[in-house]
Amino acid sequence: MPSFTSNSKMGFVLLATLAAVTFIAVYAAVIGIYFPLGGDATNHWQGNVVNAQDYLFSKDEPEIVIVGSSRSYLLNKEYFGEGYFNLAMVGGSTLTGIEIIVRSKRHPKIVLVEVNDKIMRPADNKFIDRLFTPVMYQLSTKLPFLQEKNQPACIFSKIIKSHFGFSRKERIADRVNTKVYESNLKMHLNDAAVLPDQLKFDQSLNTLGYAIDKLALHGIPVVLFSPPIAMELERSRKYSYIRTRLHKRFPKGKYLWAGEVTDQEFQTNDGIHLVETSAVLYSHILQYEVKKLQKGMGKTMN
Amino acid sequence: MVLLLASFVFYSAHNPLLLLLLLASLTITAVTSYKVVHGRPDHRKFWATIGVAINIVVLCFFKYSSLAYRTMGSALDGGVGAFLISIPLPIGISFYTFEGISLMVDVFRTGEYGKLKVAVDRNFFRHWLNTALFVSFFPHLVSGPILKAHDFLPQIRQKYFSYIHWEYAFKAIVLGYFLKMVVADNLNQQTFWIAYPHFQYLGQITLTALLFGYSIQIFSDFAGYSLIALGVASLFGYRLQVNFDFPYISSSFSEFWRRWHISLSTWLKEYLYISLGGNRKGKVNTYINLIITMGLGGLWHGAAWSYAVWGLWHGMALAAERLIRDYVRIPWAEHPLYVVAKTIFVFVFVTFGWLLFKLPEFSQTVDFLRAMAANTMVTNAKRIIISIILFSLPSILYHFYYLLRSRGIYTMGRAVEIIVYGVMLFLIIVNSGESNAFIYFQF
Repeated sequence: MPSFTSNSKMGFVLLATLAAVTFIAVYAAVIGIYFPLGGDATNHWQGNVVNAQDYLFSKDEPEIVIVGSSRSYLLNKEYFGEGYFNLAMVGGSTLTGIEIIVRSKRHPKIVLVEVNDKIMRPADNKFIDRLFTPVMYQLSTKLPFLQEKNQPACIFSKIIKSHFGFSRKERIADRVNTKVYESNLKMHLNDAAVLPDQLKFDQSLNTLGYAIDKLALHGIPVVLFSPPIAMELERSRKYSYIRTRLHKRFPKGKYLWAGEVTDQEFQTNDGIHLVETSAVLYSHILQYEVKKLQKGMGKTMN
Repeated sequence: MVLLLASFVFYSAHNPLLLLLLLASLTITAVTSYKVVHGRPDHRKFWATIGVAINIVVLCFFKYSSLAYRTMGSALDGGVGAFLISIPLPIGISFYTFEGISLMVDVFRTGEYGKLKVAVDRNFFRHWLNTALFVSFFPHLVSGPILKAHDFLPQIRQKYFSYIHWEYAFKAIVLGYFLKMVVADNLNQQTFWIAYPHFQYLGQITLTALLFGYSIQIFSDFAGYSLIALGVASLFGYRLQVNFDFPYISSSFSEFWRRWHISLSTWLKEYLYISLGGNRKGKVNTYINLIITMGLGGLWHGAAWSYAVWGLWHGMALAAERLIRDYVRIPWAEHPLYVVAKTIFVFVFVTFGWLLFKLPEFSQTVDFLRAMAANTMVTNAKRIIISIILFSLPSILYHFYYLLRSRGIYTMGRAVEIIVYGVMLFLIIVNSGESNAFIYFQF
């Protein structure tokens, strides 16, 4: 606790400020030399920021961008190979991802849009505004150490993870906790017994349609997809209703769809999120179908 | 005058209409306190009672109407219920009404004890200005510290630039922002998982780490705010009471409350506990007064019974501690190991109490404790645990340094201090968490 009776000169203030400026300069150099790729997020929310900033500030223009919720977030870009960028957000919304693409003025060749019950989540405007705050946006472009992934805690997290974290092999081998799975599935099944509020769902469909139209206005083709969930949920009243309504609002003749695998069993860890092996498998299916659609688009364009 | 107008603008930025309530509240306080001092001597008690009562009514009406509705449930269905639930909670009301009561009691006691606690200007307009600045001075208005009239009013006078303690202000503000933006805001991203139903699926060690992290977060958040308020106030030449004095090194509950939210605990002691009779009416009454004071102090924090339970939790601890002190003589009471064990016990007890702050339903608190006991086989989230340890470290070191300094083992030299503040400033710039409202804003 500082003492109120300490002297009133400015010397301490200036010296401490000078020390901070020196630390910043040294840190910026260390980051540039030793950690050019940045660190690892310390939480999911930060992971979303890191992901979005990577999309905004990377020099490469990604060809195919995925937007959606945590269900799509699990489709790691490593599973797809070059050209893909996963902009899905944990606890986030498809609409947030679309808004980031529109405001970024970047033009991917295709945007893969996750469509399911999560379309009822509104865009996170606070998150978007924070990303595009003019001063911070410009500063983060010019001074990479100000980007979220370059926080000292993220760098520390990366170092720790490289020494003590799970390897990919361990992650794939990690078994589903049956108790947690059953408890979650039961919760989701209870939830799935009730249809969503029709008026709100209609509004969400219209908002999504408007967002997709915005992408189309920017000349960006959209492919709709829905990552698989547990079969019991897939067949439930709520999810059947949502699927039907989505197909009615975005008919296949007018909109492109991919990765619809409602007849195939995928393993999840809680009923709605794929385990890593299933996420890898589904990513390959999605990638294959998108490739087919791309060929089709190429022919149409020719 | 400029400072007063600035405070009004600051307050009305949130909701201009609520400024009217603040003005009405402080005007009533100014009128009644003026009457206590300069009115008819035989009416002093009447005006003091009116002043205190109106402040309490204002607080209860705006803060506890929704609680009354929720508690009485169907009995208030219909128009009354809808009205009660729709009443907005004006920001800072818990603080400025308590300050109003402080002024009333201080001016009343001035006459009662024959010594001057607070001077009330003969010119009513000047007294109104003083009262207005005391209640609405912006650094403390929305989230404290709770000012005492006898502490603040004597400081109201012409200020000069040379009065500013730059180093004090800089240190308080940097330390405050560091605790808030680097420690509390980053911990907030982790302790999110305490929310229902997420905690049910986490392992025992993760849950323990989350609880520990929340304890550090709430300290860093509120102590951070208080330090910023102190620093900003000092830039205008005002000295506010220190609100947190390394509370987690306390080896007893009474010590904890001498170190935690000092402006509230001293307010409760001076204006509630003493008014109830304090320790002057026998041992049993002392224990009861402690429990009542803390129960009401808990309810002051929010319109939910879980806050009252939290207050009673502390009240019972204080009463039990007093009871032990009164009747049991512990021969090894001064032994360092015993003191360390007591310090850990107090910290753990206080930390469990914070669950009542974090979880809105009492049943969820019980579920959390059940999960802590049962989830032994659930895999622990290493990332959460490591992050909590990492972001809690500065607050732990902050307390640890106090221990070293107070025992004369180590005191930072000037050069080390400059580097430490430089590092804090550096981390505020490069490692702040997602900004969140201060936890105490809701109170």
